[in-house]
Amino acid sequence: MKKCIIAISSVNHAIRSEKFLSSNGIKSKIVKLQPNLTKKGCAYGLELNCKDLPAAISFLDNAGIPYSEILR
Amino acid sequence: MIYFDNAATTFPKPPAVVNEIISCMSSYCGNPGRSGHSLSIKSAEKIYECRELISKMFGIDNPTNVVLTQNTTYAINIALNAFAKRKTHILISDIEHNSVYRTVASLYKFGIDYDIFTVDPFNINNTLHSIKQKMRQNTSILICAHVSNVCGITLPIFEIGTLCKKYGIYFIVDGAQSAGTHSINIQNCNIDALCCPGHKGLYGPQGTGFVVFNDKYATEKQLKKLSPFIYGGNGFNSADKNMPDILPERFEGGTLNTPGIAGLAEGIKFVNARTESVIFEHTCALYNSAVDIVKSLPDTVVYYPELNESSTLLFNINNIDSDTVADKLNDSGICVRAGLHCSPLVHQKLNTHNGAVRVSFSYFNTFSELNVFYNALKNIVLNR
Repeated sequence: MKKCIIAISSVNHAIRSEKFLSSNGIKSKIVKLQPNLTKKGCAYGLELNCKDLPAAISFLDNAGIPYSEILR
Repeated sequence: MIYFDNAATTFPKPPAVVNEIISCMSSYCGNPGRSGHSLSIKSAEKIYECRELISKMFGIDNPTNVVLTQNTTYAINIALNAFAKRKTHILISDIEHNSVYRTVASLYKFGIDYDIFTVDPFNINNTLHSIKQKMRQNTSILICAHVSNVCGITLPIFEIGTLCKKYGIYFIVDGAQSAGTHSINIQNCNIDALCCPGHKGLYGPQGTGFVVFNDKYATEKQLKKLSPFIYGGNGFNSADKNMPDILPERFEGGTLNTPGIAGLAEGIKFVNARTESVIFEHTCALYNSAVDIVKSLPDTVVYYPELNESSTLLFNINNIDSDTVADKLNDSGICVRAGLHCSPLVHQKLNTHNGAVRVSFSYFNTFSELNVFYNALKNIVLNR
C-alpha cells in the first residue's frame, strides 16, 4: 500500500483532521515531519493510503481545515 | 476547614481532576506539539480533548478557536491586545475586576482611551442607555464581566452583544465568575472573545484558563489583523520568525500546562455531568440562606441582597473592618475573603468604605456548613 502525507503545520489541526477524516471513514495516522520536508520547518502530517488522498483532500477543503502541502 | 472562597478559586476539586493530573504527570506528560513520539502525541490529544469540551460548552464549532492560557487575566490581555487598535476607544463597566481595568488603562500608551459605563443591576435598559451615552465614533471594543466577582450583579451579555454588533464594536466578555454556572453561547451573544478561568466554576486546577474566539475568526486574512500578545515557539513552522496566522498557535507561545489542562478537561466533565443550572441552583440556595443568616444579626449590611440569583454574598459588620471579620472567621475554621477583591470600581459603586467580606459558594458546600458560619458570625457580632 502506497502511503501519502498531508502536511499540517499545527498538531491541533492535525488531530482535528484525523478525527474528521475518521468520522468520514478515512483512516489516517498523525506523524511528525522532518523540517526539510516542508517549506517552513516543523510540521505534522496525516499519513494515509494514497488511494484515499483525493477524498481526504476534498473533505478537508469542504470543512475549511487548513493543510500546507501534499507529500507523495 | 469550611471553604467559602470559591469566587477566588474553587476548593476542593473533584477527585477525577486530581487523579487525571497525577495520571498525566506519571504516565504521559510529553511536550504537546513538539515531537512525533507517543507521549508528545498523547499530551496533544488530551489537550485537544479539553479544547473540544470548551468549544462545546460555549457554543462554537471549532475546537482550535480555543486558546489555552494560565488564567483569566492572561486571557483578557491576549484578547484585548488582539483587537485593540491605536487611537481608538474602549468601554468597560463600573463593576470590572483589575484584570480588565488595569489592562485597559495600560493601553493609554497606544493612544487608546476608555470610558466606564454604569450598570443598573435592576434595569437592563438603563445599562444599555449608559453604554450608548458613552459610545464614541472611534469606540472599537466593549469589554465587561458577565458576573461580578464581588456580589450578585450580572450583566445582560445577550443585549450588550446585540448592541455591539449593531455598532460594529468588538465584544469581549470576562467569564471568570460565570463559566460553569451560567450557560454562555458565544454565537448567540455575538461575543468576539470569551475569557475564562479553568480553576473556578469549571473545577480545574490553578494555572489554567482560556480565550474562546468566535468561529468567525477562521481565515489567515482575519487572523493577521489580530496581534499576538505572547511570542515564542510552539512547534509550528519553526523556520518562520513570525507567529502563525492560525488559531490557536497565533496566541500560544511556549509549552502549555499539560497536567493542568488534563485536569481541567475532567473538571468540565464534572460540570457537564451535573449541569450548570443544577450547580447554580445549589449555590443560589446556599446564598439565599447565607443572606438570611447575616441579615438576622444586628449591625450588619448586606450589599444587594435582593439579587437572589447569586453564588457570592458581600457584607459588612458595622464598626469592624472586613479583614478583622475574615481573620476571626478563619479562627473558627471558615475561609472567606475580605478587602477590595481586586475590584475597586464595584466597591466605589457600593460605597463599602475600604472593602467588605465576601462569602462565595461551590457545588461542594453544604447547608450544615452554614450553621457553623451562623454561630461563628454571631459570636463576632455579639463580642465586638
